[in-house]
This record gives sequence, C-alpha cells and structure tokens, in this order.
Amino acid sequence: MKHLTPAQLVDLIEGVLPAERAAHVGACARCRQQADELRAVMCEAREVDVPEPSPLIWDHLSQRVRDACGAEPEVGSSGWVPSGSLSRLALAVTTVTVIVAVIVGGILVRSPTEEAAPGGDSVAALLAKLDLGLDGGDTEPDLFESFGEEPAWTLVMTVAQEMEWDDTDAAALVGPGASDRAVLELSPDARRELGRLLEAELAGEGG
Amino acid sequence: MLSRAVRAWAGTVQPEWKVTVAGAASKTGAPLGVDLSDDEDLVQACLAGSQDAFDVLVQRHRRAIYRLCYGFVGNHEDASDLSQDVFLRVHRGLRRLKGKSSLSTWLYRIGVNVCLSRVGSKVPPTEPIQDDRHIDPRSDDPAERVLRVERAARVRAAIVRLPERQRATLILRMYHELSHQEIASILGNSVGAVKANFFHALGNLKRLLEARD
Repeated sequence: MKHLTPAQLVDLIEGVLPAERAAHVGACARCRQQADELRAVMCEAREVDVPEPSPLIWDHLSQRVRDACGAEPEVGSSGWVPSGSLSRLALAVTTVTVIVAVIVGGILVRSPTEEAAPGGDSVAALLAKLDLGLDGGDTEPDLFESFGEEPAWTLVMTVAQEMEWDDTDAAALVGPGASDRAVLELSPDARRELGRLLEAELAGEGG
Repeated sequence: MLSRAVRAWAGTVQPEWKVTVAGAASKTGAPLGVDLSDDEDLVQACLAGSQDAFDVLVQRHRRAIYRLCYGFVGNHEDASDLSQDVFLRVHRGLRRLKGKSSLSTWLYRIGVNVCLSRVGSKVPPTEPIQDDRHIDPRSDDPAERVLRVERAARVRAAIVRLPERQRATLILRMYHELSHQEIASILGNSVGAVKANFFHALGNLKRLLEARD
C-alpha cells in the first residue's frame, strides 16, 4: 500500500486530491490520522489574524515611505529607462555608432597622407596599427587626447553633448570608455571589416 | 464597526473596479489623474516620475505587505519597519518589474526577501497577550475571548519559530490565500516543493503548539 506523499496530503486536506487517490485514506489509518492532524492545525492557525494596528499607523507608514523615497534618486532618473524610451534608445545606438565611426574616422583625418596598406584599405591599415599599439603595451592608447581639435571629433562631441549620459547608460549600451574599448577589443578581421564598412559609408556621404 | 467595514472593503478592491478618489489632489493641488484601478498604469506612472502614483501604490498594497511582515515578526513595531524597507526597495527596483511578473507577486517576493533577510534565524519578540487591541469583540463571553486571544498569541509565537521557508509558505498560504503556484513564483520553488514546505510547516507548528501546552 503506497501512502500519500506530503504534497498529496496537502491536496487531500485542501479538497483537490483526485478521488481515486483520496480513497486510500479510507483504508489507511496512518494517512487518515496524518490528514486529521493537519486539518486540526490548519483550523487553529486559520483562527489567527493579524491584530489590527492603530489606524494612525497607515498614514504614518505612508509618510515614512514617502520621506525615505524622497531621499532616493527619483524613479525615472539615472538608471531608469523612462517610458517612451524607444527614440532615446535609437539615439543611444546612433551615438555609439557615430563614436565608433569617428574614432576610426579621426585616425583617417589625422593621417591624410597615409599610404594605403596592401589591398588598398587605409582604414584597415590604421586599425591594424592600432592593434599593434595594444600588443605588448601596459596601457591602452588614449585615443581621445590625441584627437584634439579634429573635425570628426568635434562632430561626435557635438552629438554627444546633446545627449544626457544617463540616457545612454540607462539604455545599458554605453559605459565609461565602452566605445573606445569596443574598437580596441575587436579582432583584426573585425576591424578590417569595420574599416571597410566605414570607408564605404564615408565615401557615400562624400566625406 | 463602520471603520472596520470600510477597511475590510478597501482590502477587497478588485483590479477591474473603476475606483477614483473624489476630490483627490496631488501635493501641488492638481488632480491626481491616475487610474487607480490598474496596477500596470500605476507602475507606468511611477516610472514616469509621478510620486503621487507611487503614493497610491503604497496605499493600495501597504496593508497586505504589513500583514505579511507581521506574520514573520509578530509585533507591530518590527512589521512597520520591515514594511517601510519593502516599499523602499520597491521604489528602487520598480524598473526591473516591467513585463516580468504581476506587481502583486513581485511585491510579495520583495516582502518575503526583506523579512527573511532581516529576521533570519532569530526569533523576534511577539506582541504581549495582555494587549487590549487583540480582544476579539465577536465573542460575548469574556472568558472565551481571553482564551481565543491566548491561543492566537501561542500560534503567532509558534509561527515565528518555524524555519524560514516553511514560515513564508505557511503565511502566504494561510493568511494571504495565495495559490501554491503563486507561492512557488514568489519563493522561486516548484509547486511540489511549496506543498512539501506547507506540509512540514503544519507538522512543525503542531509540535511547537504541543510543546507549549
């Protein structure tokens, strides 16, 4: 004879155990006693209720919560994705793309007389040089300092200034240094492909 | 009696009821403009930065959260502190709710986590039996009333001595009438584990009550 499991005993006292299984109780004194004991405890526990606190406690609790939350950053501010954020997300994606593009474009602008690497891909060559700059170095090259007053960098700064940092952070796309790390951590093949795409884009816009 | 009836009614407001507060105004004096009947709209309003909407959210759910906390600690002072903590965490984490679960389930989850982390394995002090607020006016017999109060106090004291998950399961099932599925969602268990916890909670509760007799 297979006794009722704990879960089945709970189903039994709650009246949801299938009839064919519940019939076991009629023939099993042990399960019947267990079920009776559980019902008795449930009945006693059910009589207990939370004693009603002072009516003042509710408004007091709400006020305490209000005061505590008032000391916190507002819901919807930094780190919160506000409602209707699709356009902000799109702007964040665009900004990241622009930043990545202009990092590479900035390299191009700085080296206008750079001879094309074998295969005619100057961007790829510059990216490859960037890759060499990382290998064996203890620190990452600081691209942004070297750009200075470059026109391309001026463009990205103008775009970035129109966007709150918190919005890009809220979109979970950009963290401090994320864009330059994104470029620096690309594989050589990925950088070559990125360079090719950017060159095509720049050529298409007449830049 | 009337205030008790009103409080009882307030606890039964259903999401589909169109409940508005006549003459209600925000702190700035402007009408609230918040649909009180829908938790989802409340959440959206909160995420849009409306403190009034969060106030409404607190008002709607404070009683359930307070009762949950009281079930864990057995006294009003700690229940009030825990309730404040719960809503503070709700305020901080509301953006993570979107689309993942119902507000009510999420609130209970936070409430249980706050209670378990604060209470741990310590046995908090429960309300004294002599507190007159506990006298149940339903019974005309004073002696019966006192006996009922004493039994209730014994049960509450035994519940706070249960192992944490058993305590949580029993409180959510017995006093908040949540389904096993809802409890499983709140506690991160399977339904089978919830039922097993409930079974053992009742068994341990029986042993604790018998030990005190």
